[in-house]
Amino acid sequence: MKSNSGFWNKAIRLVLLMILTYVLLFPMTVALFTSLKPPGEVITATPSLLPHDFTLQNYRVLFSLREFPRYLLNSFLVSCYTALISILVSSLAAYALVWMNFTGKRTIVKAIFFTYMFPQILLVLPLFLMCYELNLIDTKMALVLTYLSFSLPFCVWMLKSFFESIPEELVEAAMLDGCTYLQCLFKVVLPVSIPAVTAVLVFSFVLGWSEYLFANTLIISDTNRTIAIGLQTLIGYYRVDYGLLTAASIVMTLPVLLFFVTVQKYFIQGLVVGSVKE
Amino acid sequence: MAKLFLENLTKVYDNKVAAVKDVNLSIEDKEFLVMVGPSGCGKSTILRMIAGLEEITSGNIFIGETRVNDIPPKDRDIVMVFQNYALYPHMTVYNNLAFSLKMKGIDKEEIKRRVSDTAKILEIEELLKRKPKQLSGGQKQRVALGRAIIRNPKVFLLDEPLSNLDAKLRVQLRAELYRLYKRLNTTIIYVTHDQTEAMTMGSKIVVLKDGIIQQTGTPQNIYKYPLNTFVAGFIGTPPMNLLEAEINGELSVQFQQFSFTLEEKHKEVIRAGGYAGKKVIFGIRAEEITTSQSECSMGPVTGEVEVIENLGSELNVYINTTDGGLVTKVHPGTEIKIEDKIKLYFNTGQLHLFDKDNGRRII
Repeated sequence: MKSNSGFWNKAIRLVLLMILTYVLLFPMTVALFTSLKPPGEVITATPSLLPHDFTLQNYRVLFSLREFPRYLLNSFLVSCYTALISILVSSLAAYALVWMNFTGKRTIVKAIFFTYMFPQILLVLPLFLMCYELNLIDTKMALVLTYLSFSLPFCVWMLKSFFESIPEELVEAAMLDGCTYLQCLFKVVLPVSIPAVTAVLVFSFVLGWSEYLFANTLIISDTNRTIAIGLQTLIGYYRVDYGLLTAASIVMTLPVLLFFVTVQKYFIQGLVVGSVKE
Repeated sequence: MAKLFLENLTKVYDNKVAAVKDVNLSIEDKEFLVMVGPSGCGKSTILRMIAGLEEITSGNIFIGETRVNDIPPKDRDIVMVFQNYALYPHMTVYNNLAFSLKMKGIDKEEIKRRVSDTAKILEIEELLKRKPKQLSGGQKQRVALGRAIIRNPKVFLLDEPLSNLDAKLRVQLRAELYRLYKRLNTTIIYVTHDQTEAMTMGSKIVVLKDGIIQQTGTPQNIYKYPLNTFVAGFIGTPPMNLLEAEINGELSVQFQQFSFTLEEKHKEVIRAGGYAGKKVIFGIRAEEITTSQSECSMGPVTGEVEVIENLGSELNVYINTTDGGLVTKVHPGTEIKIEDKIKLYFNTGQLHLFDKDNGRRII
């Protein structure tokens, strides 16, 4: 009786997951197959999911467009800078907030949380003006700094929560073993926080990669556009080349997908397990 | 060389709780000092202050001739073994052992040699490639000890290193730890709440309560002459029996069921302290209570057997009397069962009398 109910539980769960996966993957699948269709097949009277003739024509056209590789590179640079600076600054901040004593610590923690509560749209104008005053309009630096202001509060909180779960003795042992604060962070704390570090990296990278609102506001010239804005330029005034657009969407998704596949195992891995007696 | 001196050491936390109050303690070179006391008595705080992990509110710590209050932990030449081992989970046993040497910039060959020597001493050679999560509790503790001894420090601080292990392993590692101490011939400060560990390992014991040192001395000295009722009740298994009694007009110790006369030298102390006619606490160890009368025994006290603990080599018998609860040790062959009415005799050769108000030892 018990095994029977276990079977049904599993079956229901599986069906639900299948439906969810279908809903999530459907647009991706349509985009993928559309991008592989020749132009004449994209819009037909009787639409079909699979192309009759597979072709990489759309991708060839896409990469022959002068600006497209540049958009990709711009996005890649902005995302990487955002991710790396996020992890660097947030890990230092979280370390200080968890293990160092200084006045105003609680206020700082609350203030960081507070900054995360503003909706992005509210900040477009002030940030634009700030960038204008700093002469940063139409630079990648403006984007990186803006993204950091969104990613950092989240990353600091995320790392802070994770660091709090690390036994204090581990840090103390490192200090007694001769580590400075920085050595302790890079040699002991960050290596045991791989799941959180990965999460922070993914979050800030994806933020930089897919952000649209600020990229559209702060970037003016074609050479500094990121892929999210670049995608929009493929939409013509009179006509939309869906084959090209879907190919670009797929190309835009790939780096994030690859990034996820590479780091996903670290999400699951609980490295602290076994270090101390629980 | 590694003499330690704590001078008026005090720790008050932000919430105004004083964890350690005015502790003065001298730890000789190569001494095995055990700090023992119940949870929250401040023993770990003292250890952490010596290590430099806890700020000192007031007072001084000297290692040798140097005042170390403001010296960072890494420069104090001290190691600490933690209760939960605190091994680096992302490193192999080899790297865990080698970490402190790497931080000092010692060359690779030397590190290799020292890791191998340490592993040999602790018999963990075959574990060097494993990570902490692949080790058992006892193995983890060995690695933690290894991480300490590889540095060859002036002082070892051990914070309840055995309390996470099961009973059998604890006894085994206790002996190993003591052998290690003999071999290393160094200064060890060992913190525990387990008085058996304190008695069996320490060359000197410090008993703490509420951040105040209650008594310092050799295990034997503390066992035989506890300075107050707390120490009397804390040290020894089973703890000392403490009964309320009265010093009557003839300077005898008066119980409900019987009384006995004090020796002349003790009478002097009682008279001088003004205890005549006052209530006192009478203390007697379980092994000083017998079920048969002898020349120097006083009694009898009649009571009913409540609990019998069979330890194999002896029985701990808990008896309820009109003077209070008592525990005595009897030979396992003794015919005794629960609810038996038995007569007990006190061997008063080793007398303990304490002030009822402040618990301090009178005799």
